[in-house]
Amino acid sequence: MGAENLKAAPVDLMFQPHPARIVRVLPQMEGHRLFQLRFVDDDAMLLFSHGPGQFVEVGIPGVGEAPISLSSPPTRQGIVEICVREAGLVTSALFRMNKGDQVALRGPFGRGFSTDLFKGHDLLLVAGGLGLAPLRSLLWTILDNRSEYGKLVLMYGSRSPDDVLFKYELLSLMNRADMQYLLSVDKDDEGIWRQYVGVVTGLFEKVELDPGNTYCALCGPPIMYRFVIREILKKKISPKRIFVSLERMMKCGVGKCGHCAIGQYYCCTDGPVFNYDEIRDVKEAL
Amino acid sequence: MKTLAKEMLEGLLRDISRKALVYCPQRNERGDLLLLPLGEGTTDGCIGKTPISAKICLFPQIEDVVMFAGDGISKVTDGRETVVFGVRPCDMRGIVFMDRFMSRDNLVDPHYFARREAMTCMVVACNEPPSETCFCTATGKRPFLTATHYDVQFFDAGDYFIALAGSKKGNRILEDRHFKAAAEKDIEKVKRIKENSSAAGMAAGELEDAIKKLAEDRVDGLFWEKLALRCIKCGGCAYVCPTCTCYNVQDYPFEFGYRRCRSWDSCLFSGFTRETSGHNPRATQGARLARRYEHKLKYDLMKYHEIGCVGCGRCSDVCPVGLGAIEIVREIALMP
Ligand SMILES: Cc1cc2nc3c(=O)[nH]c(=O)nc-3n(C[C@H](O)[C@H](O)[C@H](O)COP(=O)(O)OP(=O)(O)OC[C@H]3O[C@@H](n4cnc5c(N)ncnc54)[C@H](O)[C@@H]3O)c2cc1C
Ligand code: SF4
Ligand code: SF4
Ligand code: FES
Repeated sequence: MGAENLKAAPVDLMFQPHPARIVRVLPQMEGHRLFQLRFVDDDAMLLFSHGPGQFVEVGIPGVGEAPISLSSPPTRQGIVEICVREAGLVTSALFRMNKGDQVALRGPFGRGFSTDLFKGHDLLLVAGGLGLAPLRSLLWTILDNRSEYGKLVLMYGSRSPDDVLFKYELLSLMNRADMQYLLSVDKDDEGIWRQYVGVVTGLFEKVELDPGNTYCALCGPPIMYRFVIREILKKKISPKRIFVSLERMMKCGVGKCGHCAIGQYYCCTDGPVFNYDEIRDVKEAL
Repeated sequence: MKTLAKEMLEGLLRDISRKALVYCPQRNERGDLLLLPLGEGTTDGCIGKTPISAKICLFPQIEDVVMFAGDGISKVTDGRETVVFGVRPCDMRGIVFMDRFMSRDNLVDPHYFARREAMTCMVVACNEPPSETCFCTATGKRPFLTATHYDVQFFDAGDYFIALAGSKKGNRILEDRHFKAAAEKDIEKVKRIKENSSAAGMAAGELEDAIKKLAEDRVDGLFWEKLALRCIKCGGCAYVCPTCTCYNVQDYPFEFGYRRCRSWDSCLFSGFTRETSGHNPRATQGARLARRYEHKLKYDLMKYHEIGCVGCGRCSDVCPVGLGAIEIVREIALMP
């Protein structure tokens, strides 16, 4: 049995976890935190380059690994940001960790949003709940190269005013003239919400979209897709211009363990971002 | 081409075992024929269809993939020289199938290929189907290999084997002192064996019909739900299958830290796709049974232009409730 030592081996970020240090923990809403990570090994950090919509496997020795979307944009290298919801074993263990502690990272994995395709076009980003995590990466990729893209609309639906992720960061977008930012909350029991109350689909009344020139990027819970896609199609945008990020149980991230299979595709290698036209008829996809 | 007297086989394997780990079909104390390391059972001709294919030598039931010791993280690979005798032609096709899967899209599985590169496959062609569930001929293949994916292929010529090398590794094996030069008549013998061999566990028309119906989405959810009522969710069908490679990953403590292990998993388990939230995109047992057969008979065909079933019949051998490939294909073929 040969245990290949990390230092001797060429940098393999796909099958070999690499130690990464938690640089900062930024609490978001209840049960959600933003972790800033940095590979301990500079070679690994240099080699790591991702696109928006890709994900990493975050590992904690003795506990396991979990696939988590990259929340930081590729335009800001040197740090890896992930926004995590406390859910089960791995994520809870991560929540017990603090600045300076180490995790074991693999990645980046999968196909993300194609910014090459999006360049020069109008963009509609629709996020539901934690779906904002990967779309934040896309959002800042666009904003950091604003002139390369056309009109930009971000729609974000949360459950309640207390459940808005990246609240303050997003607040700064409200005043930007070069984008439209629309927020909705499903319900507002305390009556404090000044914007739209209702499901995210209600926001479609407020936007004008050029069907021949707009690409749409969606990430949210499965139920959101059905309704949001219907609204987009009503605006006469072609299914080929819609991209959705899907979530599946994952174990390996490299297309081997089989858990994430959707029809003939593997969510971890063919996705997680899929063209809607390609998967709308695939069994179990949406 | 060489020949090997049958009584010389054990001697050959003992020679090889001085330098490599040798696996061959042997009987355990209960009389089951299993693919075991030489010496762990009694050799009994070393031939037969073992319940689990040679996949077990490449993709073991459980294996370490990563070790965490202190702050160190290391990838674990096992490249011990391994020679397997008694690989069935269907097993070998399963291995070729796994090779492609384990390296697809440039994602080359290091654990699998460390073993694969150190493996030598001695295939034994089937004169007669070793069991009545064999149906490789229905999949369009024959009970012997035509492409040289093997290292050595043996043909049973009665009291001796005729052996052909298919690789450099195979050539080296044939240099062993136990082999003798083949005669002119042996070429003719191999030809005759090939002509007369077949496996008839399933009619070819049935499989074609089932494949067609699946491709056309004519097999509905209700069909699967009805059949799946019988499934006891044991996962046996996947475990024994030479092309099934789904796995789970789990960490275990050991004296210096933790070992991350992967172990066989099955799409027939409800937890296979269930997410932490409880949401399960493949929610019913019928959908899971459908997945197993659609993957092999529909999606693999779309992706690789080849079905993902090599016709070994092992899932039909092992399934306690009669839901193996043979029964499923027959049920689909019987559909209007
Ligand atoms: C492409 C992708 C991106 C994701 N991005 C984020 C993100 O940015 N932030 C976030 O908080 N969550 C994200 N998730 C969900 C996250 O992976 C799960 O919440 C997490 O795996 C739960 O792991 P656990 O160990 O805490 O829970 P446990 O219930 O203990 O899960 C055990 C294991 O099952 C698997 N698993 C369970 N649920 C899921 C699931 N929903 N998706 C995939 N694998 C699962 C994982 O391997 C996990 O380690 C993403 C999932 C996918 C597939
Ligand atoms: S599906 Fe069944 S018959 Fe086909 S290769 Fe797998 S175990 Fe053998
Ligand atoms: S072997 Fe039979 S009972 Fe067991 S999981 Fe497979 S189909 Fe179900
Ligand atoms: S996560 Fe293992 S195959 Fe996709």
